[in-house]
Amino acid sequence: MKDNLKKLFKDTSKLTLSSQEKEDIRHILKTQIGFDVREGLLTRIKQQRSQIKTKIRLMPLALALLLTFSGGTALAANGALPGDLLYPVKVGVNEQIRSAIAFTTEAEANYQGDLAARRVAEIEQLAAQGKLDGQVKESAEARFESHADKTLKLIEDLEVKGNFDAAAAVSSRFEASLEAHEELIANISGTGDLIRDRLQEIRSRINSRIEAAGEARTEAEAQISSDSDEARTRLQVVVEAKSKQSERRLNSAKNDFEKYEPRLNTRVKSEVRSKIEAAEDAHIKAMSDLESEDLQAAFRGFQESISLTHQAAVMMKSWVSFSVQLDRRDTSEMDNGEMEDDSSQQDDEGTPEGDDDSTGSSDEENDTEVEANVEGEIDIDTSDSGVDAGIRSNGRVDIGL
Amino acid sequence: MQTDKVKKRFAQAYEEYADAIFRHCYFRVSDREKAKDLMQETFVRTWKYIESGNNFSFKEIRPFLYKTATNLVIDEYRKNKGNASLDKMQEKGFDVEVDSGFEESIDTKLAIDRITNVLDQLDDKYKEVIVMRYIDGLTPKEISKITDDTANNISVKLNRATKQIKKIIQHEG
Repeated sequence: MKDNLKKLFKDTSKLTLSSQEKEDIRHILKTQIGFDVREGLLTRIKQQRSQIKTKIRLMPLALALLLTFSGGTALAANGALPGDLLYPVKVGVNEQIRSAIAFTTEAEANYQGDLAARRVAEIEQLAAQGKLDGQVKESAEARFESHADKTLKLIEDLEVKGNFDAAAAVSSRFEASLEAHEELIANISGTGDLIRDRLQEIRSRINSRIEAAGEARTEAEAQISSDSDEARTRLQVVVEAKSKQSERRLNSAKNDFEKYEPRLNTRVKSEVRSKIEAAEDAHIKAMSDLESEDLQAAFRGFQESISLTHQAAVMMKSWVSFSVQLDRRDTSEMDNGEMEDDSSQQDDEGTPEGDDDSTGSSDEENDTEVEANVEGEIDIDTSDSGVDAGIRSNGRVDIGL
Repeated sequence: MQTDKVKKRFAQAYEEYADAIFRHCYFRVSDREKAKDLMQETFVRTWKYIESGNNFSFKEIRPFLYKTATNLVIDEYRKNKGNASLDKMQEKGFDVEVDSGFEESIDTKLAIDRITNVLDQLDDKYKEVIVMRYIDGLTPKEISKITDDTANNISVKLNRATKQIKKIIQHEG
């Protein structure tokens, strides 16, 4: 049994804080304890660098170029693997520097974009669980808008600094995430008008941001230059790294699709399949552009391929999460032995707080969506990165008709 | 007065143990944001303890951090005892991280979801020792020091917790 437990828990070590999260906590710690714990990280970097130096040979020119230029190259290096030219940059420079030195505008922009997408994912989860009530939705929407605003502002900052490939990459990624989520929401239908209307409102907001991100991407791509030798050399490095990233993402998306296809509904399956196919086409075209040395077209093509595989990955991941949620909800409903088929919607806007005569019974009711009364207190955590919601809505949500 | 050396060692301890303490808190409270808050508070309290001139050796920082984290988790449980319905709302699947860095594979996410689901069905006293033993990698002796319990009791709890987990997994099918 001990071996079985070890097997069960073996993946827990993969749960870690992101670099951004660690950085955020460092900032907070600094205000609370009066000094910067970054010192600890710089010590570790120095130790690691001295180890890397003895092991890794790197073309001095490439290193000089990579350290000279900012976000776009760094972003490209993030996709590198051992053996790739940019891999030592990724592990020895990018990953450590991004945390140690003030995080780059590009990293912050991606992080804000991820947070915006995360807000949408949370809304999806709530809808899947039948818990998307008015107040929770508004709160999540407000956060989504806030993160989306910050993302677009940071993309603008990148453009102002002349970092067009980074601006293009960030806006492409942001656009792709939102498009994937928008399509997923389109797959969620509810028998209740209230949930459907709420989701429609959310889709409108997302669509408006997709448009803005798309415009930003087009604008940035148009500015990517290969006029000077310096710019051309830089772009060459970036594009080659992107081609490897695109290839890797494509293979990963295909593998994931093969594995998770049985868990996807018909519509999602079809959409994911067509995105992967489109990504493959874009990749092939980009390879051809690279061969004929049209670097800007190649950049756009690989970016498009990465964006499409990214959308496919987001759709698959979110959908698998949905099905886990629905399975759990169905299981707990079956365990409870109750299935009050209440398909009527309660308008829980302005439902009084503290209508709580069920704290004791809520333990048994788990995820059932059929309660007519609001249980527990309304408690919304207004911290920047999460929503802790305390209200259940009712009504049923059907997924994937 | 704190010397630079002490600050430096504390900073290194943060780098070394931030993820481990976060993980410990996450699998105890099943909520990422809460786990981050608890991890952060663990380090703040540890520093304040060091700063106030108490007898402290950095050789013991690891168990000290875990002990502080454990106490904070217990405080958190007590705080939320009256809000059972909120606990139920903060479900593992709700704490969606599908977009975090896009590095987590679906497999990893599902594995972690499963583990938190299993752990949440354990009694708190068993959950504590299981997390410390199989996630934090602490020995029964280390756990006994952190929880102020005897090593023998810890072993008994581990044994009972293991049996409970076996039942839970069999029930999952």
